[in-house]
Amino acid sequence: MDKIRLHLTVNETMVEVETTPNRRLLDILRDDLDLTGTKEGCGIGECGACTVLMDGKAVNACLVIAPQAEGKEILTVEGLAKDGKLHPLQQAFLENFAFQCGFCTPGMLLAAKALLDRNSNPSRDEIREGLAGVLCRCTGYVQIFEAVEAAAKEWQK
Amino acid sequence: MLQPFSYACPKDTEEALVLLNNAGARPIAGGTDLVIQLRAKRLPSNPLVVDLSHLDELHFLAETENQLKLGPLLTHQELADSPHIQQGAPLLGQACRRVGTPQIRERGTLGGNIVHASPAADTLPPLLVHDAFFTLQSACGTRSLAANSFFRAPYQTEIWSVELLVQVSLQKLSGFGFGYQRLIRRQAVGIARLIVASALLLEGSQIREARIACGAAAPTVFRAHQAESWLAGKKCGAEIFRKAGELVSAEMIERSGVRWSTPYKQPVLATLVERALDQAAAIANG
Repeated sequence: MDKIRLHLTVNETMVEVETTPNRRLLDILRDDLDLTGTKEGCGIGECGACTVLMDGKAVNACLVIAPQAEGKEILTVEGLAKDGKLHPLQQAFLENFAFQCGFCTPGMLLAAKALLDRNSNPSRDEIREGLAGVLCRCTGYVQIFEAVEAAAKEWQK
Repeated sequence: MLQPFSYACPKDTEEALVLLNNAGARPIAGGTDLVIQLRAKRLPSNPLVVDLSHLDELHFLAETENQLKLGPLLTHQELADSPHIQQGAPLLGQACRRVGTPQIRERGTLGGNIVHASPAADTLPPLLVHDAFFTLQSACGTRSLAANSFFRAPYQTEIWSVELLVQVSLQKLSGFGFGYQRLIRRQAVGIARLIVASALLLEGSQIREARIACGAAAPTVFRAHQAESWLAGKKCGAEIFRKAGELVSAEMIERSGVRWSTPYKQPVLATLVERALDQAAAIANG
């Protein structure tokens, strides 16, 4: 298989990766760039554990073939905190006990960021809809919704 | 890891069509269906994956007096958010809002939903209600097919492997009221068990024209023509809508035969049709 050279911006850093077409954005992030915050769950676009932002939109990194990430801007959970300070969503997840095992948390945070970037004052129903693409199997969703509501208040300041 | 494949990134539709002449070539747009097949290693060995996702010429939305012209690369999210769709084809907007998850809606495209041809594809019943037709292009030329005759069987359509769907044209239905019903097992990440899209044009309480399309009910999406013609000229009312529902269920059974799910689907489809007609009549009456 032919090698391809990819150029993308990950968490505001330009990177160049040599790879083969049959790898996914998820593999590039986890295996080539050591950004293991992005998780692999189902691998078929249903669980949302691999959610990242691509050009500002929440996508399943398991469904993006590597060459389609060429020239894109990717944000992963590692890019949320700035200068040693947690992102307001991360802080709100901590304060609202919005995770237990933490496996879905990176995906939840990025799906929530995509939602708040679109709508900084979502209703509970809009939050439910915005996070519907990430499955949590242990905390339950209520604390997660509360965390997003708390973060939304910060967002508006 | 996905099965090995070659990748091509054509600069325009013309080049994409030349690449599709390679045996085993497969177009990719949002990848929400194709990547799953690549992961399951279900495609013939070393296919050529032809990337369309960056082709702006397939990504457009134009409105004329009587038609909406949609590029196949519009995503479900873009369609759900578009004021043109909300006004000119609200059924399609509602259907797109319910596809998969927000992540799938950002990537999955109208064209992909059509040519993948799942019997439960969300965009298809609204497209049939709007008498959509599809423009198919190959290196040899262009042809148009009505949506109503495009779907042959589950996951099988009339498109040739060397063709691309390059435009979806919808008839605007001014003055119609619309109804949409979708039955799913759960609210999120749900694949529709039954879909009904309906449109009614009324004169007072009399039905001038009725359109009903059903998804996930038979091997392919279909228009319930018998019920539609039976409804024409009748006065709106609970009893009429109930009877129309029964007629649609009978058409489903004509198409699919009696299957294990029929004792469930027969009364449920009838009820969904009744509700969709009720909704459409309420909207048509303003």
